[in-house]
Amino acid sequence: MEKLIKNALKSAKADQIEIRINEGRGTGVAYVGKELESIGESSIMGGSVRALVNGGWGFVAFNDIENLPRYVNMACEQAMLIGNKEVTLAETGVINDVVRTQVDVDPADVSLIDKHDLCQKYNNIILSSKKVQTSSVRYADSHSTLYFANLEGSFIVSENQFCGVSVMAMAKDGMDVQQAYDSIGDLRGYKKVENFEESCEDVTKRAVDLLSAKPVEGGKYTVIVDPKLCGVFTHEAFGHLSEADFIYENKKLREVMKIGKRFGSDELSIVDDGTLEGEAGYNKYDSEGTPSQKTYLIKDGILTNRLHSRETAANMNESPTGNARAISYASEPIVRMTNTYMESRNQMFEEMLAGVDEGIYAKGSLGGQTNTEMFTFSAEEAYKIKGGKVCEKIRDVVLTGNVFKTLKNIDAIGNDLVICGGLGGCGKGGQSPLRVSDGGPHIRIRNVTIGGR
Amino acid sequence: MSRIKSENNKKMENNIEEKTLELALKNSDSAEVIYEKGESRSISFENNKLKSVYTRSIRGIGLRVIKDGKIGFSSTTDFRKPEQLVTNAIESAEFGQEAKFEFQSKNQYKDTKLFDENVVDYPIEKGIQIGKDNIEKALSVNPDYECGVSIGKGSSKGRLINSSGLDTSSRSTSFGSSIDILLVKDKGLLWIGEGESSVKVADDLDKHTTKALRDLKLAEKVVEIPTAGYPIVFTSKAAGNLLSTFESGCNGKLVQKGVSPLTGKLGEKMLDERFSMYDDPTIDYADGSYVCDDEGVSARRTPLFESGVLKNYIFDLQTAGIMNTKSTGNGTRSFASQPSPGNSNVIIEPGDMKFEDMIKDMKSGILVDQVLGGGQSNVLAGEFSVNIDLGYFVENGEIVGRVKDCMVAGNVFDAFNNIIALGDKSDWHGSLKVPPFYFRSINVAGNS
Repeated sequence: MEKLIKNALKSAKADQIEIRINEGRGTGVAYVGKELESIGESSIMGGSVRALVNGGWGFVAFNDIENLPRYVNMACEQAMLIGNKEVTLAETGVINDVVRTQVDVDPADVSLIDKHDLCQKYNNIILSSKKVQTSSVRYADSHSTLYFANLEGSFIVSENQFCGVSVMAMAKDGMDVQQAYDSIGDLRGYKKVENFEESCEDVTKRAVDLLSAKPVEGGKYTVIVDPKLCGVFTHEAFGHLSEADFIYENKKLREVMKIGKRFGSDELSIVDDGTLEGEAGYNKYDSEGTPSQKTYLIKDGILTNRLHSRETAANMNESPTGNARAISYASEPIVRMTNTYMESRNQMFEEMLAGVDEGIYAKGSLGGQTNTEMFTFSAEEAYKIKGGKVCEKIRDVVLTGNVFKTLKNIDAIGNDLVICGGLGGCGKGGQSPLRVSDGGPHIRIRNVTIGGR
Repeated sequence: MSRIKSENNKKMENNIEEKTLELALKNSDSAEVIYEKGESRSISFENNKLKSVYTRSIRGIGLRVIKDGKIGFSSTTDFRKPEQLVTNAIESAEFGQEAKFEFQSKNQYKDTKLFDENVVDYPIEKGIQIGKDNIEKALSVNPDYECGVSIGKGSSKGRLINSSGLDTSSRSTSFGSSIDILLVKDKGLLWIGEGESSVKVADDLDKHTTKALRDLKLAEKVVEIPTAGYPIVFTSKAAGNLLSTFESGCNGKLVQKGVSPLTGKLGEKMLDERFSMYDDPTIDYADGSYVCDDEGVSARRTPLFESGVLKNYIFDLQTAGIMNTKSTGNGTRSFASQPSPGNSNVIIEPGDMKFEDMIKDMKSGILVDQVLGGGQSNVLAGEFSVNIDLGYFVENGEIVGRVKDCMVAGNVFDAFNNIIALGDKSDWHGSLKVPPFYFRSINVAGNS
């Protein structure tokens, strides 16, 4: 493989060429209700070439890697169609490395029947409740070997094993259907997915309880969000805004996102850290061969940095951060998060709660979306807060807000940071789901708009 | 989704399909091979500048077997090892679900147009020029606009062969063009996206740019509104977000699992009598059309709702088998997955009110054109709660400004029983053809 790639690079005429080849296999097991919907192993082999010529990018993706030299030429020809501007790439040095992530138990060493039995066990726990209409239990693992090479002489082989499980319970009463969901997934190995019984019991209970919960009334509320939802908030509301590809060629946005500007209280710090080994967003190098790092996006309330590819870093005269990531060989690297979280501070959850006369406690997340300025995310589970106490369960809580206002409205940050990955992931520019982790502590936000009937 | 067209196209460059089928039958009772190859080329402008040209030439193969009455499946893009693919599929069948169907035998299909030679011949340089022209047009209105343009074309080949003698090949094309314009102001961002896709060349970007520029103008002023119930018009672009409950509710898989809110309600009137919805893969040149579905079942138009009455669910072979019914020709998949019921094109019949008249009719109401966060609430139960990404406040029949940082929320079973009117024209948005909807009252969490 090394020979094939290095030979293909020799003939190239361009300012930069990157070749990425991915060889991989993965196992999936999916139960939905009583039926085993799918099980088995699949494999992939594919690659891509990205060429930069006179400031234009050409990108080609393919599966027949034996024709690599032809695709290198094609990428160069395409790039020449554009070539009309200056693009420089930030220096990352020439890297020659072989990266293997450590796993506790390699999912490839576990038999298909064991993976099946694990899913069946979880599925049975959920289905044992009479009020549950159906379930969904999904297990997925993948073993991939990524080859990266560029014209500057870097050659990196990275091997990783992702493994995760997700469980869902659906309860039904007439036309009303309620669901609860939980998932874990990261690069640590198989052990973690083996101890998910409690989550199965938990999602079952939550789904059933939601049937008797009342829909939330729309309006503005003080909201306490749990670490999971804080993670989604950190990722959706702020993380995407700090991706430099969105900012670097837009003068006005560069003003809005000026380094040194205050974004929140002294307590607020937000971090993206691709070096957290084992986390879902871990990479030693990104898809452009840049080493990952820990980057403070906000430190003590002040905007300190942003996420970069080589191109955006050079353009903005900042350092590359190792955040150019491609979801697969068939996609081009774009600026993405890795493991993104809000740092802990010292508020106890109880203290936070005591400061709320009337509000909402929102936990977990069914997803989030942003148009960079405005975000929405839906809580999976929510309760009314009255007189500093968590009271009755409510449902259909979808929070929305303007990121700039909302960050300033955070008035309490907890001491209980949790970072988690999962089988889902992040979507951007048609590339979804990219493995990421996110997290935070409990936080309290004033004046959050919640939709409702 | 592969689009399969009946063609006598036995001579493919590569006979990995036959080889795989043959190998599979040595160790199974019956088998089916799906092959897909897609070529696409696209250009993208970012921040007013031409940025990249992409080519994707992706192929893959999927193998489904039935062994001892149980289903096995595997897929690969690595064509060097068909043996591994077969081993994986056979191993998977040891655990697999009991097969409740047999592979389709040779079939006669009605012709639907899925291929346009003009797409194949379309010079990508022409797309580059169109992108430049449209961005120039936008910047002449306001040099602060940041525009992105994407124009892409694709063609794909598919083949499905099985041990019951089915051998069907398809060729199809696709084309898409879109523009988005971003305006950053001191008080926040305004983002508008417009575009279209088709089997045929769809490069009239000018009309979408014109609409985006008009909307940007309308959205300049932001108005505050209190939380309340308002009459609301959803444009056809936004209305699709409200339909997912009906789409998933009619999905045979969710009916079989008992979680569709429409389970057991066939023949019941559930929605306004002006509401009719069809699944229709037989429309020439439409995005979601096919001649037969991805398991070789012939395409047909299926009424889902007629005059508000629930008429049908959609099925693939296996789900239909479990439910003791017949496939509706909605088995959809890629080469990398097993089939499951999925919609082709979803068509909502238009009503009788002009879109302009809906706005004129509102004394104090809201027009919604883009939403944020669709699909994140409890869609299955009909709940929706979305941020009004792009929407306007209407007073005495006139748009007076943009509403921002507001949520519109409700339940579709209430909303679609509370319709003032449906627009008199349905528009295509991807594989969805839908008119604007004018609702009597939906709750909005305001921004004042």
